[in-house]
Amino acid sequence: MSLEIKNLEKAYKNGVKALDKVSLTIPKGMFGLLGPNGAGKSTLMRTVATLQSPDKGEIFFEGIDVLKDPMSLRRILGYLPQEFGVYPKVSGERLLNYFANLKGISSKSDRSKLIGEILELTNLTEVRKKYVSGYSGGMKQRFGIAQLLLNNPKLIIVDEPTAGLDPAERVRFLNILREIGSRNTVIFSTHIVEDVKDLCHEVAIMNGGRILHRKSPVNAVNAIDGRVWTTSIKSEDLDSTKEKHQILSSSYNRDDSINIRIYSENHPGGEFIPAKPQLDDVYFLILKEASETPTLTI
Amino acid sequence: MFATIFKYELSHWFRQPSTYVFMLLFLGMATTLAADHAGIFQDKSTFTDPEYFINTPSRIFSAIQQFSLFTMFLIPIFIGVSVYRDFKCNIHTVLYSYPIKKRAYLGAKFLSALFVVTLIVAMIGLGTIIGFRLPGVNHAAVGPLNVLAYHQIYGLFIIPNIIIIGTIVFAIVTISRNVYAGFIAVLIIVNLQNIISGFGAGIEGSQIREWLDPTGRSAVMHYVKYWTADEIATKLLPIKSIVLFNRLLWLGVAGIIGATIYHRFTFSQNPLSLYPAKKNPARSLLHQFASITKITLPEVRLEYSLKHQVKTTWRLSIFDFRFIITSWPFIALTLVAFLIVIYNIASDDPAFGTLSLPITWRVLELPLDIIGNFGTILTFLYAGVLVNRSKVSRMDQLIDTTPINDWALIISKVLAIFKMQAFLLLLLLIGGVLVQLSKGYFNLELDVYIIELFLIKWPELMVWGLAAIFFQTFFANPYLGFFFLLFCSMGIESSQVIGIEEDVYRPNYGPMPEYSDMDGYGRSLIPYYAYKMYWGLSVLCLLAISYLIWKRGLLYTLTDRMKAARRKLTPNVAAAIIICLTGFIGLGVRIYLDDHVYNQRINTEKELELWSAESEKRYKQFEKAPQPMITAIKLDMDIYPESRSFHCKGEYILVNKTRHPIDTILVNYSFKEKIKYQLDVPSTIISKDTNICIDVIRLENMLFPGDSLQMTFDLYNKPNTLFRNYSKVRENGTFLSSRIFPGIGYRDTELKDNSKRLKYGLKPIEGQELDPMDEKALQIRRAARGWEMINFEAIVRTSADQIGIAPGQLIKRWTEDGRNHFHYKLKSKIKPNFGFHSGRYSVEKRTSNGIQLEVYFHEGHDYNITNLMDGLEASLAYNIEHFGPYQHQQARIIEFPRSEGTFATVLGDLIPFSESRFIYDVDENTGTDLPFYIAAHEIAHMWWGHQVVPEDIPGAKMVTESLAEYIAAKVLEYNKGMGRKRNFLKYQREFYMQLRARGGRTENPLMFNEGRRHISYNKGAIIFCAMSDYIGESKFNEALKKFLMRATSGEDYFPTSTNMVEEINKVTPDTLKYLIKDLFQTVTLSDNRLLEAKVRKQDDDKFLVTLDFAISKYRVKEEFRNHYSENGKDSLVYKSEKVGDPIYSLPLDDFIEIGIFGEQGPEGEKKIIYQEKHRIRDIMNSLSILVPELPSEAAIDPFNLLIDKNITDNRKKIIAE
Repeated sequence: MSLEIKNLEKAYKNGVKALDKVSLTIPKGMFGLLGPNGAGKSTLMRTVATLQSPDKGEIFFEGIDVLKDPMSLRRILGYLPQEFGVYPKVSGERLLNYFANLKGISSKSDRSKLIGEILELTNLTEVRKKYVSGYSGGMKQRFGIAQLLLNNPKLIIVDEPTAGLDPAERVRFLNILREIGSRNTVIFSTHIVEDVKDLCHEVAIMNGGRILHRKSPVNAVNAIDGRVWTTSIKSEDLDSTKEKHQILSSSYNRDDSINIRIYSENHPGGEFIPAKPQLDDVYFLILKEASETPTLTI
Repeated sequence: MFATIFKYELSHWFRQPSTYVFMLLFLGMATTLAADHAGIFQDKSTFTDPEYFINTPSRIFSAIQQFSLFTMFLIPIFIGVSVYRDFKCNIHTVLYSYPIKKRAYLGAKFLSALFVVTLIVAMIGLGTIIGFRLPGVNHAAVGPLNVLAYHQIYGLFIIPNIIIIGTIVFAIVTISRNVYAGFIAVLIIVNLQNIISGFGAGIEGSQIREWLDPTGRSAVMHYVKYWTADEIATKLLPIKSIVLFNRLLWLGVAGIIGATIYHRFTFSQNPLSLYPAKKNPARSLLHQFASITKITLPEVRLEYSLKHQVKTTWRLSIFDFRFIITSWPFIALTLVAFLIVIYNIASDDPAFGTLSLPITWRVLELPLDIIGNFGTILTFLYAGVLVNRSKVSRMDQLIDTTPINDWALIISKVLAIFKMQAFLLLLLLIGGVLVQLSKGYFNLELDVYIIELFLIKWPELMVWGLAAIFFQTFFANPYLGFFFLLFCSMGIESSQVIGIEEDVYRPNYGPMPEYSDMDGYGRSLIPYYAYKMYWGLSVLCLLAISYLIWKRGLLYTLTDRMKAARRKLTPNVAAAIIICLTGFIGLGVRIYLDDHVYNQRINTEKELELWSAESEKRYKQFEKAPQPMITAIKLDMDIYPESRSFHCKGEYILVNKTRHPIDTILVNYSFKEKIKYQLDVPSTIISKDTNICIDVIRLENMLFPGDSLQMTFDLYNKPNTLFRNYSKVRENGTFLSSRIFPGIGYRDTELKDNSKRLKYGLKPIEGQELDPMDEKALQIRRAARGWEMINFEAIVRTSADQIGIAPGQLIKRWTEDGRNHFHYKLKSKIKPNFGFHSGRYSVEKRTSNGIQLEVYFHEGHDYNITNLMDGLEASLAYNIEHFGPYQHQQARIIEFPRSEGTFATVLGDLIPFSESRFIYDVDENTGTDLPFYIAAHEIAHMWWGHQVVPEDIPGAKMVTESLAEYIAAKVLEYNKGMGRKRNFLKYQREFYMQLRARGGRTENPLMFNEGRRHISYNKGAIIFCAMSDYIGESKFNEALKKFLMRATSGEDYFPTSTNMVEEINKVTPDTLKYLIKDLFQTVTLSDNRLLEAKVRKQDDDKFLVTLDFAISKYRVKEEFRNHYSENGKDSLVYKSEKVGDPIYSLPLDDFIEIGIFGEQGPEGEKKIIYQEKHRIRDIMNSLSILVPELPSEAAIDPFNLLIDKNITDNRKKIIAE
């Protein structure tokens, strides 16, 4: 049950190369796709979700040639786009029923049984008679998951689903995803490293239309163990420090001093102390290196 | 800030291709229309008088007004969208937090969009100017460019209207944040206009419509309506009180709406609400939930089979259908549509005040049209909404990744549209039934409803539905798609304008089925379905293409769309497209061949013109050639209702009645029927012309004066095919008239319009008409016309269940070979106008003065039989009493299907009477007893038109139609009362005045009138009644009788209008001779008015009434100029402060009737307490009259004997002194 992406290429009319020879094999489990805005994540996901066709390349999932036979994939696909709207003035229950029809649930009793369960699961039972267009952000996102679950999908693609959710909603949301991910292939894109850290079996970092890196989060972090250093500097020293060190991230403290984390094979000297590497560090390191050198070094 | 937004907005609009598309579209449309008006394609009836400039201010106004509907829809597209854009893109959430002043924001948005719309609409004016001056137009018809007129039209109407409606739309879109609301608002305004346009139409003097019409058009028309050609040609639009008031009123309304919106508008995230906020709003609490869930969903069966997809399609269509009918634009528009229907039914101002019964086809006739139009508009609108719905609500990505087929999505939308259409029609059915029940009519013909609504109208709407789905899919922009579809449908509707007349080129058009109670739809459904199938195949083809170009996922570029389409083009789809296309083209070719090759039929106006011109060119030379005359006709007519064909064997006796030998005969015949004929003397056909259908035959031996010959012929129809009927024989209710029979001599089918004549190289018609006083020319014409009064005998054979009818006394009736046979013979001679009927008739009989009266009618159509019988009887009695004996032994009214026409006529002793005149709902308290009156009119023709038979020359219709109307009025007076007659004449006056304003450049006096019905019928009725009143009925009728006696005596006396007026003149006393001139010889109008009416009670219980009134009359001569003088010197004039403008008049020595009325009598009419004619010599007069009762009202010419320009100022309440 794995998704094979081979040499996917896509260039937009305005010259942006959204996908540049992307090849990926994604096994069962949660797969995180990390990358800054505009990295090509959405293009990749939409392409896999049959919404867009690439200029070149192939995609296979469970023996389905996705680009040639998108309909077969759609039967086992659950997709939640980055942003979506709904028909106004239609209640949650009716709209789910509509989607259940679209997704091939023929029997009326099947539909009502399933929708009841899913509403319960996504905690929308109480508002099932209310218009979806009036739902709050979290409720709407849960509705998105609800419609996604209807056809018991094997491949689930969710594009930045946690943006704009409050912490509780976010945890809840990720838990549902994780639960589905234990049995299926879930591709999950985000630019929030937090989301990926604990949940994903594997993570790929993407920028400029390319996959820069892929590993399990734990391995990725382990790989740079002992090479991340941190210290606190005065804000006016930031520029000079930048010249000397490869800064991964910097953040203000309350006293206007700045905490910086740098990457270095050896002890960089000065007041730097070793820091426990985090996935963030990997993320920033890879983005940085990719922007400096065209090929990946680790 | 204002400037920044304004500039940004403008640059946005000018980056939109649609802005330019609309500009070009309007420019193109206006140029085409103007060029057409100017005769670039062909001279049409829209413009018949070449010397009359077409670009006069009021005509330009009308021309530009034709675009008002399109202009109105530009408003939501631009002005509405300008605000809507920010909501649609959700920019408003950001934008509204900027420090923008609302004045700048709203103002700049509104004004920039207004500017763009104005620019587009300016193209209409530009196009009009260009179109009038394109090469190839009739330059003589175009006057110099009048820039002021365009300024006036734009400055006073077009631009203010955009502002007014723009403000309303802007306000509505701002409030609702929904651009469709703007569309609906425009639709409602458009229809409001229609409602208002009809409003107050029935109330005399009402100006509600003029005030309230938001476009100001009615206000202008209020003044222009009565403009004569002269004024139209020269005047600018009237900027008078009502126009100004209307403009100010609406600008005021717009101002208030604008100010309110400005005041209420806040830069808030949520739409403006017109409702107060709910009290005690519910608090929203986030439900707490457990963190980890185990997902165990029930097992369900997922199906992707064809069967499932079909079922899903159906369920999705229910979902969409429910969405449509619960959406408020649909509800609002449907309500408006039905309001219009109700309004139209309620305000139906029937002819002479008599309505028809609510027979199902009648009940449906008008509403079906209105609902059909609304259905089409709703189809265009909702096709766009459904196609773009997922995209607009941004749910498309969710739907597009589900395993549903594209075709299932498209077809579900198609089905939803179909259901919406059916729903509308169902509402109409229910409404129709309710109307019938409410009027106490219980013959509910559900089958007619179902056929008319669901088997005829629905398919038509379905074709639009499929086309709409395609174009909306293609454009992927609901506004553009809607506009395009609306534009196309209106373009097709009026495509005749640019010379596209054949339905084979007019999408979704075709022959409309016609229903008659007598034989249902007859065969008219088959061609209807053939055409619907033809267009249906074309739109099915489009549906398949819709499937190919259906947007699934994100297709950014055209190449993407093309690629996606190519992928979907499977052999199955290709096959479907090819099959539909082949079927479409095949059927089209079949229809074309049928129209052009298998039948040399005249399909278009243009072909008819060509045919007429060619006929004249080839055969006009024989116009004066003496011909033998048909003197006897014997026919043996076989009618086969089952196969809808006929075969007639005939025999004409032709006699040379001239003083010269004849060697050349012209035989003309119908070009639809087949004919074989031969003469019983040796002869050769010199020219056989199967195109014009006139043969020229040379007789081997001269036919000397008094000699005769016999012509025998076989007349029959081509065998009917499934596709086309070649005869007028019906399964029931056949009516064949003598028009299909051969005739002798030149057939006058000449073009009457000079500009057309010019175009085909014919001499102008002027100077060619026969002068009724030129006896010699009349002699020649009579010698060439090929017939005189004939003896007629006929056998009619028809199926066993039908009665066959022909003119004549029934001599014998028998049954043979399972068919009915009838032998008829006329004792007296008739014009060679005859007819055959065959049908399953019920018969009602009555004998009156030895004359057998019969009405043959369709079973169930017995509503008016008594009225018809009474009319026949009363009119026969009057005519016999005043004008001599009736020539036949019987008079028979025969009903024929309405699909053959709506007229009534006289053919021998038959009076064919249309079905649509058999269903009057006569209420004598409110209107004229129409069946009674029509029967009386037709009987009068037995004398006037069938005993007296005038040549077809100017004034002839005075001798026939005016007389028939006069006699009908008299019969009404004697049988139904004076009040009914006066009421009848009131309608006649109204018709005349209205039609005369539209009648063209000149108006001939009654005795020289050529074909205008409003002169021969309506004015004729008034004038003959007036003359009869002035010189006395018996004296007047005596003169008419004398005329009739001379005309029928056999002496060389032509029954012309001049001869008739001469007879009338003889009995007219010298003091009234002026009436001969005023009424018959010239067009003279009065403008009499009562200025003051006072009463004072005398001591002897009498009342002294003092009346001040002004009398004026004038002649209307060429070009509708008013003349107040006979010789340029003798004009009367009265000037005084009291009357304002000076009053002019022709010299007066006239008798004017003065009436004084008392209290309202029990019949609703005021009691006449004084009625006397006074001799008047001056314009201003004062009279004192002593009356015995308390008077209430006084009137000058109270019963409108004279044709008064304005009758509302003739009557006044009398005030006590």
